[in-house]
Amino acid sequence: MTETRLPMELSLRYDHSLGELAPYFNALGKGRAMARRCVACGRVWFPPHASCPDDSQPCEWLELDGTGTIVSVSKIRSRLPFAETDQDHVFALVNMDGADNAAFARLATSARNASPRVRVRLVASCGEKEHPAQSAVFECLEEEI
Amino acid sequence: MSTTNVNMPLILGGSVYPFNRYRDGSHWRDWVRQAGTDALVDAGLEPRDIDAVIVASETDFLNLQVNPAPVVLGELGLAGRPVVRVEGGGASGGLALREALAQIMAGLYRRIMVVGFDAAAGHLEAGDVQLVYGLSFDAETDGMAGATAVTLYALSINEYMGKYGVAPSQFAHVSVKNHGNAIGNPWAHKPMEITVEDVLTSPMIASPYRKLDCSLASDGAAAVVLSHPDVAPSAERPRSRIAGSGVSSDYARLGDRATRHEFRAKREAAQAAYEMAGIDDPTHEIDFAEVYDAFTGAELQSLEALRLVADGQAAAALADGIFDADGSLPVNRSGGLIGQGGVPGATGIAQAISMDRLLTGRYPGQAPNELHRCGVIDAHGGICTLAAVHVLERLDP
Repeated sequence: MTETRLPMELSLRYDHSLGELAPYFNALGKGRAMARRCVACGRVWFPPHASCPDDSQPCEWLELDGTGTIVSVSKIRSRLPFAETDQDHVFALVNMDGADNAAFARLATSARNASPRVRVRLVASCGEKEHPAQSAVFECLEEEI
Repeated sequence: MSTTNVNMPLILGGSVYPFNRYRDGSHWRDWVRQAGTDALVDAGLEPRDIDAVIVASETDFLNLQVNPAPVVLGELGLAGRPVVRVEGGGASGGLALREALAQIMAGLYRRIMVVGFDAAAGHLEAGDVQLVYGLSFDAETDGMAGATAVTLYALSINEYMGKYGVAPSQFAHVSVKNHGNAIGNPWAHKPMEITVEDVLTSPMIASPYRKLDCSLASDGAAAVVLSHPDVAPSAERPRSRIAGSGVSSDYARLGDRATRHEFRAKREAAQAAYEMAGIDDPTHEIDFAEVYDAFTGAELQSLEALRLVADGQAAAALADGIFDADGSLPVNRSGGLIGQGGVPGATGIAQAISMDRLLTGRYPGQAPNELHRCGVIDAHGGICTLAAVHVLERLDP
């Protein structure tokens, strides 16, 4: 009998570089929000861009206070990249105070029932993350709970 | 509609290797070979008649073949021909049409075969496909953070629902319509009769999207032959031609967009395609639409971006039956990505083939007296990060 399907295990090791946005990623896990502001148009990006996508001008670092407002929410059971198992997650777009865009982020367990217009803040995340982008986790501000 | 450019290419023929989930031991090369062979038969041509080839596929992660274009040529008996590989996520097939159109209009080649494929369903495990597709957005800030296609589309449609007061029960009818339309399509992955209740009780995937709101990841291939009109064989049957083409893009990150409930890139691409085709009022001048229904709500967002219905009015028009197969503007008669299936490299090409057959009266089950003039096809990659829109027009002999 001729075999027509072959199960194959593929495994990749990838030494990943964070590039010019490394300060943003490294600050996330500490609960600090590093943004970049275009020196020409003044637009503030969080997550940042190395140079402004609108006018290609350089951007400079600035630190935001880590608070923001939810603009959209979706609940999903999924596996984060490189994680072993599926888990329940609440993902959101969060417009940070002082930023002109919105960040894709996870909401902490304590904020699972948050909805648009709820105020949140970036939290210092614990534990090892496969990629520092997974440290973009927000919880509700106390006065909104 | 008043296209005056006489160099716009004709569609001579095309074929699709049925979209499905293949675990029968067949390889994507087999699908490409069959689709290409059948396309040549449909076009009434031989391999020697093809001057060049455009190949579309989304990612080599799915196909385990880097630099696939020369391999495709070998399968088609076209080894040594000029070839370009095009990739733009779900827009890959639409971008390949655009590339072929540009090469023909520039006078580089006269007859071009456009071939698209991907092994998106039956090979990698679902979680791994999800991981690969998560890299379709800004992989660093969004994909690595856990963004998947359904998550980002859900975040977008939630803003749409908030702005226009639309409920999931309203866009569930897209799934009913498109799965039902697929019943008449021999190339479709999931033809079935379902109800709105079936959609609303299917498992939740990413709120508000449930399983039956989602399109299918499919295996398959499609091939179409385009020709400069000067070298097209004479024909006694109607043909269609590409009358307009538009491409545009948006920020890779959904969160960077000023308005996230709408598909701005598609609106701009459609406007360019309509201008090229001489269309002023798409609502009244377009007879059919094959749109990129990655999710049920995305069909509504697409119809508004294509200006086939006013902003915020797509759900109401859907409820009125306007987009049904027997409505005044049938949408996704093929079943779309929800019913026919989604093969990123092939979808835009399959749309062109379905539209060609609809306009020339050759679509399965089409009434003999069902003659239409003009249709629009629409494919996009990412969350409408990259959009390709084409207008097709029937030409009578």
